[in-house]
Amino acid sequence: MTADNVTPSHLISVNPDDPRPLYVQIVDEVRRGILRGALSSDTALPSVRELARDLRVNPNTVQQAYRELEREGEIYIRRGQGSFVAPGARSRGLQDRVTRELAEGCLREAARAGVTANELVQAILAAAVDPPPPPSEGAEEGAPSPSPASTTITSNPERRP
Amino acid sequence: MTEIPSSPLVRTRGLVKRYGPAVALQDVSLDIPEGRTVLLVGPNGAGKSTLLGVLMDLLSFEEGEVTVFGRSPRDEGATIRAGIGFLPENLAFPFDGMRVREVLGFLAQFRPTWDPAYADRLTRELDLRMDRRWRQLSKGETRRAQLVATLAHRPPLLLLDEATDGLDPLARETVLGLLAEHMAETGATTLYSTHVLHEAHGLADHLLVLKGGRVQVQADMETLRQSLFRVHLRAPAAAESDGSESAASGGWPPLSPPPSALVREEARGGGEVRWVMRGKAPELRAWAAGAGAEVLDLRPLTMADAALAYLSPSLAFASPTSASSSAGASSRVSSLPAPHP
Repeated sequence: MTADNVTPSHLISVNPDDPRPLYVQIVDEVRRGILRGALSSDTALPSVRELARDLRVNPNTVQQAYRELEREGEIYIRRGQGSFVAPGARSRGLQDRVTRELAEGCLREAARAGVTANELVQAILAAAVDPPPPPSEGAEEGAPSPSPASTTITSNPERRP
Repeated sequence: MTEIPSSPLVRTRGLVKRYGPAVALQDVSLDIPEGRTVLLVGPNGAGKSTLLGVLMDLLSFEEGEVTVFGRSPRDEGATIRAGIGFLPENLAFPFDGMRVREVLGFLAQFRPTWDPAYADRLTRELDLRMDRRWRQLSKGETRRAQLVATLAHRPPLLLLDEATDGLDPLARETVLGLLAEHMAETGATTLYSTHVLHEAHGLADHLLVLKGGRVQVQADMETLRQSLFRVHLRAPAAAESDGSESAASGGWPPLSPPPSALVREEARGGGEVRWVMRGKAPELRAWAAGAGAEVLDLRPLTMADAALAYLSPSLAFASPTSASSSAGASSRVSSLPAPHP
């Protein structure tokens, strides 16, 4: 956490090629930040103007995302001061909800590959027991990071000739 | 986003503009509500720059009605121009021996709302060298200097024609960020004309596609998301269909789209098709079920993809076999609504 307890915008990112609306992506990013503890209670979120600028999105989009988060009780908005993470936002309910969305996304992808839900669950359990090397951005400080070549091959098997 | 709609900032009805015998704008009727950011796309010669010129009263028009801020450009062109930040495609400035600082000072004199502090901030962020003479500027520098001149008086309406043309990737990002910030601070209504579909679609909440001087589609993003889908289908097994037809179409699936719903065929093969289709999601699913097709995926399009779908010639129309056999299916869904009336 930064000294002044303000969230840097770069904790929140969007992908314009993702077919989900941009405001949904911002909502999702904030929720994930809350769940992994990067956004703790009473932490200030970037202002609408700041985030719109950093993400190069319409300010109305950011506003829509913040309103949605406020309606769900995950942030509170103080007029003239900004938006803050609500105490208690990091809840079991939020975790269930985000996990459910992750699962639905995986199931959709699996269906497109002709993989059944059961096969997917088995594969997830197997992968969790024998996890792949962490991607470079997940590397711990001080820990030796995997060589770039091996990372590329492991995380992008489809690129192999 | 869904407040009571105020009167549109820009409105045209039946607008026709000709250059001699050539028609540049044909029956263009538009509403641009206040506070919206409209992505204006179309191929070269679609009429994008002409439209901006008409709104600025830099070009005359032959037929129809045009109002900007509720006023007619023909009668009150000067008043309208004072409220517009216009970034023309053209880079030229007539007194190009002047230095950037002098040019900006010169332009500021015509604009009572010019904000010198904002102009300073913009020149800093855009990394402009104020002592350079205008004619010595590179294309990208000229564009950045023009952008300061476009924004510094905080106009309520921005007409941007290829705003990032000639900019390097980093400057492009800076400019898009400054535009987003400008919108947040001023609530400016923006018409953003571009060839680079992917560039500004995060900024835009409204899509306007022009082609051959005609409006192809005009819709806000929320409407588009509910009425335009990329649908990936597996056709019914060949055994269940008419064998001769299947053979005639070279093994392609015998599935045919309801003509009123098809916007574009993107791919076909291996018993599957991927179409961009108009209609509500439940209606499209019901049609697919009725046609015996399995919906592998059905999702809304990004703004850039929606624009592309309306700009591209459909593969389906190039294939004579696909159009013939849809009578049964099409009658059922011919009432699917178009995204814009």
